[in-house]
Order: sequence, then C-alpha cells, then structure tokens
Amino acid sequence: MGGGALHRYITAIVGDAHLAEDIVAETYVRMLERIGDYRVTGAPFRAWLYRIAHNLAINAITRDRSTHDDLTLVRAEASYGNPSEAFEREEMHEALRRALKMLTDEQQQVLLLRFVAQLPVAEVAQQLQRSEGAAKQLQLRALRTLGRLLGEAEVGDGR
Amino acid sequence: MDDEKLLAALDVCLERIEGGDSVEMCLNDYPAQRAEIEPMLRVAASLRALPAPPPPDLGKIEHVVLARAAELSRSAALPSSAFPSRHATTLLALAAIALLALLIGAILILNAILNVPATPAQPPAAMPATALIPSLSVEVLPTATVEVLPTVTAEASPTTATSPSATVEAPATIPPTVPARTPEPPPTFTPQPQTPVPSLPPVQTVVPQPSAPPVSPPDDDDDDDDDDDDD
Repeated sequence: MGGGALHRYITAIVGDAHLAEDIVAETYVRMLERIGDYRVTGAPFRAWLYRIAHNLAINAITRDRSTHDDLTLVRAEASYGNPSEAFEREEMHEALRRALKMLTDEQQQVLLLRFVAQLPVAEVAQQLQRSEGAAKQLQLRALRTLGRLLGEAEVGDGR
Repeated sequence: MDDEKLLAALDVCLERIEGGDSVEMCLNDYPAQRAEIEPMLRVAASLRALPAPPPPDLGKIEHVVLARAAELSRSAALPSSAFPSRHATTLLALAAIALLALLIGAILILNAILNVPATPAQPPAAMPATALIPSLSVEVLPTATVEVLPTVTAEASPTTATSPSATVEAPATIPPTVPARTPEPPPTFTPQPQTPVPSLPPVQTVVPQPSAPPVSPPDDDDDDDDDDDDD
C-alpha cells in the first residue's frame, strides 16, 4: 500500500516524522473502520487512503500547533552529513515548508502529491476530483506561487 | 494562449526531469518560456529533495492497526442494528419485487382467461346477421337450411326461426367461424355466452320456431331483398 510514500507525504505536511508515524497508523485504522463506506468510483484505492491521511494530517496540525517545532525536524535530519550543512539544508527545507503552508489547501495537496508522494498527474487529478487538465493548471499556479513566495523569503532574508 | 504554451512546456519538462533529464537541458529547449518555467522547475526539484523521514516503525503501526481490528471484530460479533438491517432491507426489497412479479403474472393470466370465452360471443352482434348466417349455414349446417338461413336473416321473418334453431344447433360449430370474422364488440348485444343464437342481435329474431316453414330457397326475391339489405 506504499506505507513509506504515505509516511513521507504526511511528514511533509506535519513536519514531524514521529507524528507522521502515528498518523499512518490512524490512517489504516480509519480505513478498516470505514471500508464499508468505500465506493468504487474509478479512482485508485490509494487516492481514498491519501485523502484520509491528508485530513488526519491537517487535523493534527490544527490541533497541535504548539508542539510543532523545528527541533523535531533537526532531530530527524541530524544524520545528514556536516552539521552546519545539515542546518543550512534544514533552513532551506523549513523555508519551503513555511511557504507551502501559505498556499491554498488544494495547491498544497497537488504539490505534495506530485513531488513528495510522486504520484502521476492522472492519479493526483482523481485524488482531487478534478480533470487532468484542471490538475495541471492547479499545479502550474501552485508552483508559480510557491516560487514567488520563496523568492520573497530570500529577499526578506537578505540573500 | 501563452498560458497554454507555458503549461505544455512545463508538463514536458517535468516529465523529462522525472525521467532523468537535467533542468538546464529542458530550459534550453524552451527559450521563450525559460524565464517563467525556470523558477517552477527549481521549486519542483526542491520539493522532491525534501528529506525522506526515517522509515516508520512498521511494528508499531501494525500493533495499533491489529488492536483496532480486534476491537472492530468484537463489536461486529455482537448483535448490531446496522449490519443486519442492511441485509433485511435487501431481503425485503427482493421479496417485494418477487411479489410484484407474481401479481403481474396473475393479472396477465387472468386477463387471458377472461378474454378467451368472451370472444366468440361478441362478434356476431355487431355484424348484420345476413353476413354471418350464410356462412354459418354453409359451413355448419349442411342439413340446416342453407336455404333457410338467408331467409332467416331476413328481418321480415321472425318465423324463420327455424334457421335460428338450426343455427342454434350450429353454435357448436359457430364459434370456430365466428372468430374468423373480425370480432367487434356488440354495443347492443347483451353479452351472454349462453345465448344459443349469438349471431342474431335482436333476441326476437333469434327465437327458434321449428315449426316455421323453412322452405324459402325458391324465394329468390327474398335473397334479392337480402342483398339489398346487405347494401
């Protein structure tokens, strides 16, 4: 069922690998509880699973903002080579995550599903319940906006 | 229009990068859109490069899921209103459909049964007796007054009841011929299947009087009259 990809997707949303782990478990539990509600619509089963995961991740962020800190991220990435390089990398990634959170929910979803979960456009379209063309348009707008936000952040940082 | 070209260029470049091409190689192929595409491709690359979290503790996840599954199966084992009622509803629906099918079948059969006996009694009433009787007489009563019947049908002679009587006997064979004619509902005819002379609408003309002299064949005039009547 691609638990690793799901975990990565949720981590990208919540920014906490351990929290993401709990959410992955909760996602599968919800899947069991609601399997009777699942309807075959042509979209892959995975799309339904990711939808559950996404909602749980958003709820977790909303519910638990105060415990959401960079230390977790640093802990998660401490093993990546030189500490200062790791810190710089972490700053970059954190800027990216902050900018992501400034997008609309749909724009966030399309980018995370496409480039973090690495799902094909067709599947992302089904997940978002849009046509493929509409999903590509959304992707273009999301990338454009994110690029602008990151550029503004760099300017703000004096880079 | 520009957005469409941009969209197409972005789409192609993203696919190529996923396939292993470098960002630079893609940008070289789209010089007109380079300025717009480049930031987007860099952002996409950054997202892909977000560090993968440490692998999840699958054992922990499995434990949580199995525990919950055990709870669910325990609660499912208890009499529940939701699950059985869903099946009960389906069974009820099937029973209703079966009942409806039986009802429709019964109505169709009943219709068929009711229609069959009525048919023979009806047609003659609407038709001039003259039209019928000749054929009746010809077919049914060889002894019956082939000659008589035409006169019988002549409205003038109630006395020609003999033919009716003959025709009374005819009824045994009438039904087969009657249906041959186009059955027409008799507006004035009293639907009485038992009526011995179904071919004669007016009851009076049908009254059998065997004593009436059947001899009429030589009376061609009557026949002519009949023909006139037929007209």
